[in-house]
Amino acid sequence: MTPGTLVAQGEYALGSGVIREGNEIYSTVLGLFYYQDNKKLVRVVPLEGKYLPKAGDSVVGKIVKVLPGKWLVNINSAYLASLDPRNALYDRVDDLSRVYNVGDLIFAKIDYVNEIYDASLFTKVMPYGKLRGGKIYEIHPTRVPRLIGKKGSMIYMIKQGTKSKILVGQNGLIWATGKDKMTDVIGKVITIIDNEAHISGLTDRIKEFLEKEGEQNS
Amino acid sequence: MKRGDGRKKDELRNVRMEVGVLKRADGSAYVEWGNNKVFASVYGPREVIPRFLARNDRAILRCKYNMTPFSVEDRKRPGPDRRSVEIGKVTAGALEPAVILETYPNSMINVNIEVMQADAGTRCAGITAATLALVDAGIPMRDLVSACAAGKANDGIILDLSKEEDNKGQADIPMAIMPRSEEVTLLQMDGILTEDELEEALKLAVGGCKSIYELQKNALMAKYGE
Repeated sequence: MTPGTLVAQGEYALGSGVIREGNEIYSTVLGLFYYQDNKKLVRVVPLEGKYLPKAGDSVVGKIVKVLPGKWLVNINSAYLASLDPRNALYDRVDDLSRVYNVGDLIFAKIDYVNEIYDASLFTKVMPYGKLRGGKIYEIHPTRVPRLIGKKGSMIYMIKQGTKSKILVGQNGLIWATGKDKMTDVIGKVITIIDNEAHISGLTDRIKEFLEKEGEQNS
Repeated sequence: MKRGDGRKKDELRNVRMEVGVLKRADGSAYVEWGNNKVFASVYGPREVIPRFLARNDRAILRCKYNMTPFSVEDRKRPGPDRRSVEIGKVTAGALEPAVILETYPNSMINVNIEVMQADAGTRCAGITAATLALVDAGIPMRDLVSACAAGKANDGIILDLSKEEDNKGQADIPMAIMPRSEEVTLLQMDGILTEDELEEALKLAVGGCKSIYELQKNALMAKYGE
């Protein structure tokens, strides 16, 4: 579906990626068309696009500024998110930069997002908090569901195959730590998913790839 | 009537489009339109700089048009000039009605058009490429914007003027439309035409835009091999 394609005519509920003009419903993004029969819901799932913060998502972010009362965090979106010390610490701390300083990577949950996408973060409990060491990978935010797979099947397979620790942010940033060789393999796997997420049989291809790499490195 | 390059009066030059050509941009496209070679890149939505331009109910769209020094026969002095500022402005005006800016309040979308080789009709090629780049960046749009020029040369109304026809011709009308609703988003003209001739030229230009629209759709689909 390209923007401006007619997707439906008549009474339907609108999901994301569509717009109503009179009786007709048109696609607004480049993506794949989905129709949910029970709700009469039409939507177009985008193949491209930046991350928009959503409450409940887990994200990987980078501290860009320490203000007297909060941290500003780059979460790979159009907007900066803020982290309030009350959502990060149990005790009062005078100098916030001693907890998270500029450049630190954190894994956080999005607590609340308002209408203009100001997101407030939460890092009080495990596994949220500062990320030490490891490597950061990037993927299209729209491909994150494919990286995780149904009920986490895909990411579980990658974790098992590479014997690494991986944290996936819904914003398209992925943090992983493990043996050097294995982190390279993770990078390759993520590139494959990024490029081929829309082609069917992805799981099998990843499985095959992981097995092949596993043999070479053992 | 015969044209210099043997085209029919309502025939476009060869147009080739490719989407997603620049790695570091959020969205990009390359258009080869006859001898025009144009890159468009889209960055954003991102934080607004300078801050005071931000609008809290929608995104702002900023376009920049630039011609490289080697894009024309005589070396062009690099940097912005009167002409490129104007084209940047009209491009933004042509794209704005199609982009659903309300999706991203308090942010900025940058469109950069870089002309590598110019051969008449670069603003149309630029708008066409910029539209593809916007879609490639995942920015929601009501419709694609397709642009094409028509004009008058050798006393005949023709579509998509070449360099020679443009320089020696009598009139040039670049036009951009949203093909679905046929809403006109860009219409400029230089030269002299009678009312009837204008009417005929516009009809030709709309037809040209529609063929460009089909090519744009194919180019977008081609990225995902469908």
